Amino acid sequence: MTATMKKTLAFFIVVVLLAVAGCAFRGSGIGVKQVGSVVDYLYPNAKEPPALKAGVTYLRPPVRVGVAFVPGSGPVSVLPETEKIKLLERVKASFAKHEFIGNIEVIPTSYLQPKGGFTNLEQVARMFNVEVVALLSYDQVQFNDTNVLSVLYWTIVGAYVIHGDQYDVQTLVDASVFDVRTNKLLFRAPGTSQVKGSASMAGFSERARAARVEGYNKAVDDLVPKLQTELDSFKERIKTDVAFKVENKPGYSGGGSLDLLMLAMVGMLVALGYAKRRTA
Amino acid sequence: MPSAAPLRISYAATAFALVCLALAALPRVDHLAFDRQAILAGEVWRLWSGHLVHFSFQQLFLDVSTLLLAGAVAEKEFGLPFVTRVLLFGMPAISIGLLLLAPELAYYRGASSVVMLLAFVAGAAFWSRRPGLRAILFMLGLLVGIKAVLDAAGLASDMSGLPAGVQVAWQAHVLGAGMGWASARLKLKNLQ
Repeated sequence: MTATMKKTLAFFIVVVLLAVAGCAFRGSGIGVKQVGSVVDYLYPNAKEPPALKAGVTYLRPPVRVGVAFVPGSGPVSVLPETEKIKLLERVKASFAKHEFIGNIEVIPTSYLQPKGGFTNLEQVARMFNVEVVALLSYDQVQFNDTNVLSVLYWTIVGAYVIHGDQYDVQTLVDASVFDVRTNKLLFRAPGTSQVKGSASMAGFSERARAARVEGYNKAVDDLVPKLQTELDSFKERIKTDVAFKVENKPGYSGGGSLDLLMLAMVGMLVALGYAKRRTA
Repeated sequence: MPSAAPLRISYAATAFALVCLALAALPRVDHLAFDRQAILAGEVWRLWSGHLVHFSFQQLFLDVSTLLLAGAVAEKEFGLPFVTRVLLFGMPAISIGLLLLAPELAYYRGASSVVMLLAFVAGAAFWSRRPGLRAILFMLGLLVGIKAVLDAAGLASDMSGLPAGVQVAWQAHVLGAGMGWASARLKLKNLQ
């Protein structure tokens, strides 16, 4: 082998190694960020504090409730609509246990317009015939890092078997419950989660995507009991808060109750029973 | 056949009343009330327990005292086994009737529909066995009907002991009355 050939071979090997190393390189830091902010949705481009409608908020059980994810800010959502519906169904189940809540409608995100504001919320509420809407906002960040094992990616096979990439998915889901008529925030509850894991370079994308979905699921797991607590505390609060008034819809709550007239009538039946015995 | 023994307390109605009184001592009975959503979600015990819990002591007192009177007559006419069966099967039957026929009624507590059930069992017995009393019984039935119409119109007397915002569930009364009449007539037909 001549010196020129050796130099050419050495150059080729260096180029290949650099190329492989380049393939195996993954930048550290924030990988994916998904945000759906209730503030961005309800108060788009707000430069001044929102003006609240004054007056008493009337709640008329059984209250018809809608649950929806606010539209995200990005063009593509990490969470598919089917997964969103599943999560909303779980939030719906947490509301369904309460006697003062009537129909609960799951509102697909496609019905909500990004930066639609209360105007859009009122339109959707009318469409679904709900009086109160629980809006789920979310903020999910996925941090990507590599560990020392990633050095083995240069073997190419290592890129398929060695878990040299790590992800850390942090999720916040926040449920804000609004009275549509007065635009008033009734109560809110947060749910958080952190999902960590590692994957090989080849399987990283799939694993990370599953982790992001798991992050939402765990955040909703955390949210549901807190939402229950907030709902219970709201029930107590409205008993004393003059800003709220509960009025039952006609026929909603019934009591199996008699009055003295009925007592007298049944007493007459008993008297007839005695008369019957005497004449028998 | 009706017993010639003097009118005495009904064991079935007394047991029912004692359960109502015991449950009234509980600090919370929300998990026992008739709650449409909860029943549809599988909490079937509410089909029975909704009739055993009350909103107030006044409601409880009126329901229980009327129940004891109506139960005494019903048990005297038909015996303990029949009245027990009527109570056990009548409670869920009324609740299912409310689920099917009164969709606007989401929440219910009280024993008055059971009282109506027993009262109409007693009334049906008299109707069949004492034709001479039919005019009085008809008048009583008419009064019950007028009362139901007034309740439906929201003109019920405020002596019912129900808290503000809770209306008299006239649908439950009508169902109880109908079931009581039907079950007694069926029993009488079988006896014949």
